[in-house]
Amino acid sequence: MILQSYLIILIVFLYLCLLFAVAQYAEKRANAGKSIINNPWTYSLSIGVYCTAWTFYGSVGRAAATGLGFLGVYIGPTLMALLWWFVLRKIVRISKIHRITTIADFISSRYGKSFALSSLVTLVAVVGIMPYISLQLKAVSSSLNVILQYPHLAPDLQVVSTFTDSAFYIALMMVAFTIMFGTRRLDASEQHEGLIAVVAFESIIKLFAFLAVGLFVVYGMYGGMDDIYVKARMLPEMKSLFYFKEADYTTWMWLIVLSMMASMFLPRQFQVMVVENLDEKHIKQAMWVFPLYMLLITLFTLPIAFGGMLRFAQGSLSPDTFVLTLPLVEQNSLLVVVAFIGGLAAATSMVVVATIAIGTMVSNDLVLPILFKIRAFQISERDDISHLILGIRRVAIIVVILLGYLNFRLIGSSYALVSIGLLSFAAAAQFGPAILGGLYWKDGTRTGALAGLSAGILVWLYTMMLPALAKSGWFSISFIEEGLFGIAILKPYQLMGLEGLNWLVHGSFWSLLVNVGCYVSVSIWTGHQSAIERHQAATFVDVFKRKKKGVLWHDRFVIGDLQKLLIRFLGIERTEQFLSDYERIQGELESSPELADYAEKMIAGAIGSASARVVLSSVMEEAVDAGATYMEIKKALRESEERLQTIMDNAPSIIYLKDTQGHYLLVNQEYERLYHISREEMVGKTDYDVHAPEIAKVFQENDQLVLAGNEPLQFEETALDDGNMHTYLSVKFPIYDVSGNIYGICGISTDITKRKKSEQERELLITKLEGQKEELERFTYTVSHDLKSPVVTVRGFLGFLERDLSEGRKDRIDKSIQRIYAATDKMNTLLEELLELSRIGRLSNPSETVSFRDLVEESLNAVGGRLEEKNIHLNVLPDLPEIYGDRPRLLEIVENLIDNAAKYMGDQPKPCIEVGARYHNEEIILYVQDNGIGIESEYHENVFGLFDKLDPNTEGTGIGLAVVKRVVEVHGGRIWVESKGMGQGSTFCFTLASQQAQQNKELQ
Amino acid sequence: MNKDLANRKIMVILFFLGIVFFNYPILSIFSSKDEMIFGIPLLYAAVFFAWGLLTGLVALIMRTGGKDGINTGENET
Repeated sequence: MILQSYLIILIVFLYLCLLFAVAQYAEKRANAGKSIINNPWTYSLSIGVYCTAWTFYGSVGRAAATGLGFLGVYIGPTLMALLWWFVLRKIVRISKIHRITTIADFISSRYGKSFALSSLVTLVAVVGIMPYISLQLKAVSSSLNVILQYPHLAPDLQVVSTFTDSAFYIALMMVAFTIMFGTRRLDASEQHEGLIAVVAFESIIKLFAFLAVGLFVVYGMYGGMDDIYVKARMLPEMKSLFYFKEADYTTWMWLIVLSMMASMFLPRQFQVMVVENLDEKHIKQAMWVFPLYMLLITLFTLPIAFGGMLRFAQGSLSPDTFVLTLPLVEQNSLLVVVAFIGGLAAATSMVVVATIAIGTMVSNDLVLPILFKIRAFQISERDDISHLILGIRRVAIIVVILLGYLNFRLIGSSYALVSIGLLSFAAAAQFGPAILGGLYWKDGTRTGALAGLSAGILVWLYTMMLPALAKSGWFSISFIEEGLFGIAILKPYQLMGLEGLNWLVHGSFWSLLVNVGCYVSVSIWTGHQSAIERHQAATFVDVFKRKKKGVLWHDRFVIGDLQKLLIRFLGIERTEQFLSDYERIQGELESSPELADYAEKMIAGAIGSASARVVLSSVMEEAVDAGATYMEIKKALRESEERLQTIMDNAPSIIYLKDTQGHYLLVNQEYERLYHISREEMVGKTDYDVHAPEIAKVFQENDQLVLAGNEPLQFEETALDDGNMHTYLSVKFPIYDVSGNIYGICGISTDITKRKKSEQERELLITKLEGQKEELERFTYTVSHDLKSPVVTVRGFLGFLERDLSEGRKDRIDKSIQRIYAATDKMNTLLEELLELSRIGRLSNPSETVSFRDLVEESLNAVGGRLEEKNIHLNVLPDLPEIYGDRPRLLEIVENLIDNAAKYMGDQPKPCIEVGARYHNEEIILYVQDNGIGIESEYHENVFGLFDKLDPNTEGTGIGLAVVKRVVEVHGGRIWVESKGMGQGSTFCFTLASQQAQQNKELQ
Repeated sequence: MNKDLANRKIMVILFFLGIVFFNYPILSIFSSKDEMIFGIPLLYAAVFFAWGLLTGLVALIMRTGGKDGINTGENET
């Protein structure tokens, strides 16, 4: 014996005192507001609680058996850590919002704060983790025994009686420590400063210790890593450990899968990673520090294992103890103590954290909900039950640790360390589907989670836990070899005849398959979620999205009742603080659903969400179904309405919705703008309130057509907007309610006024062009015809001339020549007039103001001869106005009209022409009146046509009046003829545009 | 794309690369050879080296990964 037992016990005692001191210091710092755990390093190191005594001692044993195979449980968490920024951060965020304190609380809260789930998870955790706690105690006990029994190195450690077993006292110290630093505050959602400081501290201790032993073995006992491996290589049974065998890959893969789950869902991992997290940012650091920590602590595992195997004869002692026995045989007492303290650190940190996690779970998620359900117990009637809650939690901690110890005393010694750890891993992995599904799949239901978890854990029990117990001699192992009731396909290691897998792979496969399968299929199959489930699912899955204000409580409660309730669970001090905090944030303290929600979360932090809901429902009503659903629907509806309104408001057309009676329900922004009326004012009004009755009538008739036809229709509608007539193309269609009845009519009207106008203009232009084309054709025909007749005449007389010349009849020659002259003169006149006609339209002289009387007098130069010849009296009325225009052209008007009147005088005995002016509607009408042959009313239009001579026998070319018409039109005027018929005389009237109008036109 | 989102994407890629590397059949490449690197069996060296590399990468990315990224990636699901 190189170390005296009292010395060891003293060291253990001092070490535990050190832990108390560290915890006390951390608490003090926290109270002073200088938390040492609010630090990414502390957070990352505390996650190192993953590495327990199992890592410290057991991994060496596993490395000795499987080589690299031991590493799977560290590679898994390393890979998982890559996803922490998604998964862990989400869990942390959710847990902070809902004040979730345990993994049971998390799962239960996600699936509608279900008591069934919280208690099931708690039971699984207790059953699954208890052996793990036993394992730690066993490790401490074994390591003590190894040291104390040296130099007697037995492969099997002797078991001593309870009261002489120092592990028992260490367990008691752990109880004391856990209660002291784990149950100080009632609110379990608050961080345990002292405890986490100790866990982080112990992470450093165990890493340091293991590295020290590793360095000693590699460089103290051997000449470095290569020395160990080269030596090991010589031995075939060790060399085989350098490689993976076929079967190793499957085990390796499953170890990765299990450890990925376990590193997050073991209760103690959840405790340090989620509950004790103070800042989400710390996760970023932990993502690489934790894998680095595992890398360092496993760096020397293989060398120590090989070193031990090389040093000790095969099978002479358990490789699990190499960490201690190698320094022991080298007589390095200091290193033995260091190694022992390292193992102790690994064990205590795990036990303390796991016990707090399970203790909280048992009290909040199992015992309290049951107590609340038992009416006889009247727990909800007590005045202050915060002490009761803490008491339950403390008892739970004592029970868990002592049960762990008992477990170890009864069955623990038959296990290899590693199998127990893997059992717990597989149990923790059962939480995976419900949690991960709950985080990302809204349709995962409570029944699905219950089914998956229970099925998975039953398979776990049957294929992993029970065989292990049987092997420990608790009951007959016959069911392992023959199957339950002798049924072969029920063999726990070859379920359904699946052979060739080791127990871990086999059990994990079946349990997780059944778990996921039941969770997914039952969730899909049942489909139904209660309001609270739906609400929780949404707040969990969408925790990073917009804040949901789903409310599950009615606002009908008395604040005094709530206050009393809070005091019972939180104590007076915290209740007052809570209420004043709430008042400060919300502005006022009134019985609102939000206050109820806030209070529920506060209570949940102390007693778990399942109980909190039960407790709160004693003073208020749950807004069952209607609450969340109504709020959600209302919100969705509002969003949808806003979306629709935005689309409507940005449309360039006017859009409106009327009921079947023609009352407006909704109009868009364009409508508001156009009719200067707000949409609020418009509601309830009809078309008659906005439009003139005749317009509104058309609108309503069109609406009725749509309603009657029950189909969309298009109309062209006109309306008076801002004083102008506008034309709209309106699409109107009926709107149906959910049951298919028409309840309104929607219209979209687009202003097509401009389009309409240009269409009309185009048509006008086409008509005009067609008229001109016809005129041109007629012109060409007539010109060629009229020009031809003089030519024919000329030709004829040229023939006569020729004949007369040959016959020498001189008298006739002169006559023929006269005729030829006459014909060519006629041609000349015709051509000159045509030339004249074509000139009009291109006003060649500047416009001026001219006295109409002057024009008439001037015209006598040209037409005076004809008047005298026919003895026509020209009567020029006095008071003739002044006119404006191109003087020579205006003269042409007068000349032509007088000449025309003279031409068609007929046999009038007293021929007379009157030139005058009259006024009509502020318009000056100038006229030339005669008492000649007159014109039948049907020809009144034709007279102005080119070559349209009414009487082909009269002289003239038929161009004169056409010229007049063109000149008048060029001057912006009109010309027409008034005559009562044949023999009644005729009056040619014309107007000219004012000087102003003509000048404007020129400018354009 | 903000840095936080980019980093999260890189993490997912690394995750899948890790899953592939640390499993059959990639590992069998190292397990089938009789070589030693610096006196360490090839399989051990490869796994530890890859592990260290992965951790180093994560450290590099998450440390430089932006103080801006904490509250920006709020719209993941």
